[in-house]
Amino acid sequence: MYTYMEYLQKCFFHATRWNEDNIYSNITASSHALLEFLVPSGLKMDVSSRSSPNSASSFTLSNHHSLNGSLAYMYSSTQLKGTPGTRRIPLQDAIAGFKIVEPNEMRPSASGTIAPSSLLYGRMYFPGAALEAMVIRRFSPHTQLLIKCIHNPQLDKNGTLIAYFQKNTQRYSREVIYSTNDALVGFRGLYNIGSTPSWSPSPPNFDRSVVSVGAELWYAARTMSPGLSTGLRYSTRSTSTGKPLTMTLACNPILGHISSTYTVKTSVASTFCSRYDFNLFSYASNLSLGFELFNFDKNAAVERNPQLPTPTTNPSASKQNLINPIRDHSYYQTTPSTNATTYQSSQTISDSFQKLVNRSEFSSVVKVSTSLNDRLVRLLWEGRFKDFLVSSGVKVSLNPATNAVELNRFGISFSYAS
Amino acid sequence: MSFKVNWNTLETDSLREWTSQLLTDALNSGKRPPILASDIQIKDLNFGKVAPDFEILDIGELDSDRFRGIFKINYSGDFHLTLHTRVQANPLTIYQENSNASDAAFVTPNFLLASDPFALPLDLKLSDIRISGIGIIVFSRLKGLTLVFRNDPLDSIKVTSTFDTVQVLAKFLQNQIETQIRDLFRETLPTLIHRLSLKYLSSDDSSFLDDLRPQLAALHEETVSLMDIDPDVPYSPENLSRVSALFKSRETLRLAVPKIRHSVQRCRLEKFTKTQPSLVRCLHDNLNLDLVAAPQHTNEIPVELVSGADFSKTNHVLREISSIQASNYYRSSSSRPKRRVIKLGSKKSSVKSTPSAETLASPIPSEMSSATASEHVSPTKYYQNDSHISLYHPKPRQADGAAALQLANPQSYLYHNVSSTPQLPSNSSLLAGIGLGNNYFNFASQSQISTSPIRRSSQELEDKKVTGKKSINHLDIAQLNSKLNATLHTIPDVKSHPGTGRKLDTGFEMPPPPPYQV
Repeated sequence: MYTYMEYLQKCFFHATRWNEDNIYSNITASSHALLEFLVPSGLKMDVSSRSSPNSASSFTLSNHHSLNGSLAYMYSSTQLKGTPGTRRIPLQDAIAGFKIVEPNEMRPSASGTIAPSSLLYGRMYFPGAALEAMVIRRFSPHTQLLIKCIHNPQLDKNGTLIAYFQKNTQRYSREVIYSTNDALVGFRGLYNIGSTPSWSPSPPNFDRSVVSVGAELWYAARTMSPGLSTGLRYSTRSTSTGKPLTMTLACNPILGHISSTYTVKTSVASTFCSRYDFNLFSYASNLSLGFELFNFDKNAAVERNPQLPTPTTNPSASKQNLINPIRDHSYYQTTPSTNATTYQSSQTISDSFQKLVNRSEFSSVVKVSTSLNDRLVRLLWEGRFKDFLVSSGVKVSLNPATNAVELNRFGISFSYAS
Repeated sequence: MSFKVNWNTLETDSLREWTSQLLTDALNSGKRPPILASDIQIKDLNFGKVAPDFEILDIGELDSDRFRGIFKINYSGDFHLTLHTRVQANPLTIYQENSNASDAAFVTPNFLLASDPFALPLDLKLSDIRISGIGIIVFSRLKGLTLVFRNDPLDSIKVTSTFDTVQVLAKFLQNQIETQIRDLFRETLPTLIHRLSLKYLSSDDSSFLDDLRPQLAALHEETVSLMDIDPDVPYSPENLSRVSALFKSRETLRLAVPKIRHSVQRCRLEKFTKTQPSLVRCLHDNLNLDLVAAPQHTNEIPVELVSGADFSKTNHVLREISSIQASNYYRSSSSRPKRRVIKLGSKKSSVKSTPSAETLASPIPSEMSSATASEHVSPTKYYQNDSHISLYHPKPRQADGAAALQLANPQSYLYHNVSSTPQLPSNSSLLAGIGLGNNYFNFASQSQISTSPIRRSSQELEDKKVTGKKSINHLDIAQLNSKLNATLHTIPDVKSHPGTGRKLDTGFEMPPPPPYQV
């Protein structure tokens, strides 16, 4: 579950048309969200409010180790619209889960260029004197500078600052990173293979698949520790059912580590993910499995059992039924070309599936993941309880030495935003 | 006072498991550093066969609820310990975990596979541990047990690991572990022992002692009778009365100490072990002649000295003997010694006859010659001529019953030739017995024992002959045995004298009983 501030940050990226999926560190975001989701620890309470379209504040209280909390403020130069509170927020947006990668998600808006915008964020922890701050500054539609820093008397040199200079275009993205902690320097790049996406709405590529390759390079100058990894992501939709799936293959050449994931949205309400890790040098392998299952909201007025249109049904008819303008992206409403009926059909199917996913109202989600080699099970339940979003989970592992079951993490977290 | 540690009892599975558990818990306590990818496990633990050498140097306080003492520990055994763990080989993983541990996850970049963990298995074997140190134990019923090492007890340790092929890593590990173990002896061990003792003391005292008592009783169940010790010599009322007389004399500080046959009193041990001046010894000192085989207590000239083919050498030796005798003579009297002159032109066989003649002039100082002929007594009727005679250090019966049965062998008795070991005139029981004025616990005369390698090496240069520094109460059994053998060579001579029936009241020699039993 995102905190409200993280949610607002995503809204900011969305409002300023910044494609987060096009960043190298996010190419395994879907599998990460399904396999390595964070289980809350202890009791946590989060109350947030939007005081104006440009600013928000948040108050957090938790009993991690001892009773402590934090106060956070955020200001955005762009008005953040359509960010409902916890009462009305769609569960799909509030929870990190499967993300459908769109090849040309971030088209420039109709108005043309986006004005330079910025986001300021600060959080103060108590007790103690820890501070954290973040500045996002957009110079142009494709470049931004992101600076994060923390101040903590317990850290050496009392704080750390990290700066990302990111360039994110349709074709590629690259970023240069510098952190004062151990003088870490990094470079990340991602390149989208395939035909140049066209801005024109005419014939939309029917399969909408994306192949991206990327690499990251790190070097901590003070400790002389290098790091390197490369990755490939293939994201597509099934032509018959329209269900999206994502495959990734990542490799660390220094350590000989290969990790492949396969994530598929098996139905409107469920996602399954598997990951296989293998090390070429040590022959160590690991298989991780995870799934998420959404529960439909019983009180919702919308249809309970959404029916997927079959390819044999009349495309126009099914389309008429399924289009719901509330959560649709504008480009979905482009006038369908009449080139080929089969293309039409497949696009309709994938579109309608996505619309079904977007339109469904869910009340809760259960996430389970396990890892065979690490011998642990994570279990997380997130859902709406009255006006709160509740997240509760447990992490259980098997001690390799004694074969005893150990409870690693257990917690519940409440969140309220208005 | 030294301890015999029954080290073999440590070789039990239960103890090994218990120790492994304790070590595992101690090693894995606290937060695991990011460089370790898994917990530390004990793969192999072996106490070895060689026991450490404990020696009490000083007892400052001794009471029912207080104890303060200084002890010395030496260990150079074959104890070894193998640890198994996994170390993190990816530096970025360590970076990330360090960053997350310090609540700096907000500014940690989102590494993808670059920070993937890569654990290398590591076996670490610690062996060849050499420990020599001086420690101070202070025990008080209220404050518990405190153990402090006065110096750094660790002499050396050998660290072998999976990474021995990498020189840098091997050296690094060696240094780190030496530092850690020094810390262990300096801080961790005293703290641990103190805490453990407090636990026992603070817990219900009586219950702990109640637990202990049956165990001790079980140990003492084996009562030892005199018959078990020596079935051949039945104890008699006479012997018992003798022992009781000895006991009374100790209690009352009586000057006359009854002698017990076949036993040496500890306080007289020095006279037995002390080197007496003799001709052979003088020759050894002056000419560096090695005459170990010759009896050192008679002043006869060894035959092999003069029977050698090299005449010039024999002449030299004889000249030396003559000078020794002359100087010895002039020490006591001013008149010229009578000397038999041998013509050099005569036959060589006459030279050979000289040794017996030359014994007339005794090289032994007056004190030595005070061992009068009247003291020549036969060893006793119990004497049995046996070549395999050796002296054993007495062992407490209750501690080691099996070993004690060796004493039942009458061969182990030591007989004393009175003529060969002169008695000093001052054999007051006050000085000799256990009581006032003895130097049992007088450790101050002993020079401070140091385990520092520098000082020890200089000491070694100084006294090469001394095999090791021992406390004053240390019985050098080897030396005693060599003395004994030397003594027994002369016994036939003594036996030729008719026995007077008088028992060996001048003090010899059965292995002395343990001090606390007398």
